[in-house]
Amino acid sequence: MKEKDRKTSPGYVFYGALAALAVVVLLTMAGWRYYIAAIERNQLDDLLNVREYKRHYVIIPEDCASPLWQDIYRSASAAAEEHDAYVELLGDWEAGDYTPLSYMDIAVAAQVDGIIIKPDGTAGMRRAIAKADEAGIPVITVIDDDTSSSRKSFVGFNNYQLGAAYGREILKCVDSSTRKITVLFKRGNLGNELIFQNLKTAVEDGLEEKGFREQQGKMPEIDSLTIEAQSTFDAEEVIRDRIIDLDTRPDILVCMNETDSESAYNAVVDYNLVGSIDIIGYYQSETILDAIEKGNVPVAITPDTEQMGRYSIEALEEYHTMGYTSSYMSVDLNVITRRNVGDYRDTQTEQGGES
Amino acid sequence: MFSIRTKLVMIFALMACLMFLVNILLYGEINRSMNELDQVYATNVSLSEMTECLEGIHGNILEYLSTKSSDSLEDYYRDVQQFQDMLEQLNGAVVDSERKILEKNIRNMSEKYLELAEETIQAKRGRNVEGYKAAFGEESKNYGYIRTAIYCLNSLQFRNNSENYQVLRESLNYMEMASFLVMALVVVINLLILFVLIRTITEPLRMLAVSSNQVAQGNFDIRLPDAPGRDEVGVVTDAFNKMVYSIREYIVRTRESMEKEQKMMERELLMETSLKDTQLRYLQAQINPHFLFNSLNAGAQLAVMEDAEKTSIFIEKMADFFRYNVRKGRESVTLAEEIETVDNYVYILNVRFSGDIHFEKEIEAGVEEARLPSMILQPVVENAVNHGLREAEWEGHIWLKIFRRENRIVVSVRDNGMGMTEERIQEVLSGRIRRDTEKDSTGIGLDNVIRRLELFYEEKGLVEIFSGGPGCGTEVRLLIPVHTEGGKDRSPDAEPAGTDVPEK
Repeated sequence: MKEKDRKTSPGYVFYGALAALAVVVLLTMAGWRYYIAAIERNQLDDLLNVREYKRHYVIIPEDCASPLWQDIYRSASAAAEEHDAYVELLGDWEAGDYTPLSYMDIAVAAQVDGIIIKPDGTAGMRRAIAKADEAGIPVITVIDDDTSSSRKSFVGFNNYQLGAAYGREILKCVDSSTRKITVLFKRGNLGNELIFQNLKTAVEDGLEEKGFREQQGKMPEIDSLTIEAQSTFDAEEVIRDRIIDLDTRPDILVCMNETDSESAYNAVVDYNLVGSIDIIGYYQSETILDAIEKGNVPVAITPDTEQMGRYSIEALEEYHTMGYTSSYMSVDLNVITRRNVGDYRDTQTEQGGES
Repeated sequence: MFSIRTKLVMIFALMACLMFLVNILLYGEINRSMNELDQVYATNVSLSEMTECLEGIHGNILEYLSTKSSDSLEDYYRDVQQFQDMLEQLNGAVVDSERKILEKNIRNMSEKYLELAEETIQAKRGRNVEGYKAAFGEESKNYGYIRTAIYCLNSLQFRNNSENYQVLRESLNYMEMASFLVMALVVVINLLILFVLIRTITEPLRMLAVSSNQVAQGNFDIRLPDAPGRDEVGVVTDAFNKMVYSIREYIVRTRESMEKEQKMMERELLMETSLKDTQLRYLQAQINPHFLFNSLNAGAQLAVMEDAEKTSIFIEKMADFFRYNVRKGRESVTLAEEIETVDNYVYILNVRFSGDIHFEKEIEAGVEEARLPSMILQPVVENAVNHGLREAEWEGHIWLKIFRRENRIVVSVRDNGMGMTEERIQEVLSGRIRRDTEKDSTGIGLDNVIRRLELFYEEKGLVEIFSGGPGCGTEVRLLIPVHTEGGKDRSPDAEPAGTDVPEK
């Protein structure tokens, strides 16, 4: 009877129920708090857990979205991290239709600690570089150099080096049926002429050595095509025109930037000319790497972007600590063929994973 | 404890409080979280205000350059002050956050811009036309950059806020779900508590109903467990328990008194039967006592007339003896009357048997008035004569001795007759020898005497018989209880109701 009383005693049930209720409410509140805390952690990470740096550098790219610039930015960021500096990729202010020149002005106005830019060879750019210099902001040029500007250092490859490298690869593609070789340039690139001359000399010298003229009676025609980039899509159209027209269709098409390389490759695939037009590409974009892997593009030349980013930062750091830096830092030019394309694929995957 | 009404009110109040409390807790929690989020996301400076202020500065410069009005200059300085205050709130450090770095850029650009603006104003003041034109050009360019930068920051924040909105929505959904679950649980628990509490009220009622039903069916051997509280039900349960107990007691008492009455009636019936039996025996003697003692009276008168004195006495005593039988047949009588009858009887016997019996009395003073049933003593004496002395070859003696002992009057009738064996005594006392079959007898046996005494005094063991053995005489003792104050309600004086028979 007593046992029964204990079991059914209203007091026990009552306090038990109250306790259960309290537990449920507390659990809900704890869950809610935890949830909110987790959200705050995730969403506000960039505002709350920021790291403060000593210096602020900017990279002003030609095109923010291009893989080349993304790669440079990535390696520069990694290098800057080591030197307690922050790198900003300045070039995607959606609101203003700004050119790299405008971004130069902005960077100077924002009083950053260093600028990395590819100069376009214009007087305006030189003035902007000079203005930065006056404001005590060191400017490092990459890919292209403007020796007449007051840049502190150039990180890249020289045009002789580039021309010779292209020449060597062209020679490997030339065969008895090669009649025409076209080299694509974009207006505004400094040293286009120099590269072209160097390239032409390298090819012709090589062919002479091989006795091409004796065998074929005639040397292949090497011409350059400078695309006047009036608007964004001009290059693509010009390349297609060139390929469609039988008179102007080259046997070897040499590209000097990554956009041209992809446009040319797409055109060749579209017109079913794979095999009859050899493209010598530039830079390790996904499309070009795929093409090399399939054998549709025999070779691509690519600068070592990792070196480019790292050396730029090192030059800036050197300038800030020593007051001077070497005016030229050479980066390697790599040749991607079907044999070594796997290595680039690997590094790209790694970098892609990091970013 | 509380009354049922208070209990019910308390239960509902408790339920309401619980729901209210849970609601407060849940909504308090939601509110708190929202405020927290608000605080985290609130921008210290409103970007649109900043843009407005910047536009104001630029506009004032333009106006000052065109009109050189002092008003615009005043406005310009006010706006610059305000703008500088706003800039103070922007981040100035190099940190790895897109928004923060943009804030830093805006801050630095704005500082530069203010310098240019000041330069423009100063050039205008100094009427340096080329100077202020160039400076204004730079200032305008920077103005454009800053506006764009603020716009970019704004859109970044907008993007972030949209994400925050999503997050908030998500968390609110979670809370909504959680609240719903908690509410459902609270309702379930409330119902449980309600059920339990109400059961504490209704369970005693239910048990009361069941018990009442059982009582109605005649089962009084139940007892409700005490109600836990002292509420109305508790009171009713107590009352019910008391009522059942009282009814049970009453029934027991009634049964006892009924049994007692029954017993009394039985006793009276027996008494009557015994008397009837006695009377029957007289009748069996086929003598009409009235006729007999009337005749005897006539005989006595005749004897007087004839001067036969002894005959006259004899007949008179005979008449007395029979009259006593008739008159006192159904009454209690005094011991003195009984002794007198015995005297008469012995006289008659001595006349009949020419003085063979020596009768001696020894009576303690003050016992004669004690009352006892009639016709008790004579049968005992008769028994002594018939069984003790008749067969004896020697001179027969009978001693009657009456004395008080404790609260009894002992009537001892002793003879020096044939005596009795112990077995015989036991047989007589146990009433196994029922009837005196001697022809020469008044018809009343010792067994009849014993039974009547027991019925009259409602007590056993009132007759004792002693004998030294065959030839050693016998003593019969009657132990008559003496009425004492506060003693048995049936005193020897009391007449059994309805036993009086009118004299004939």
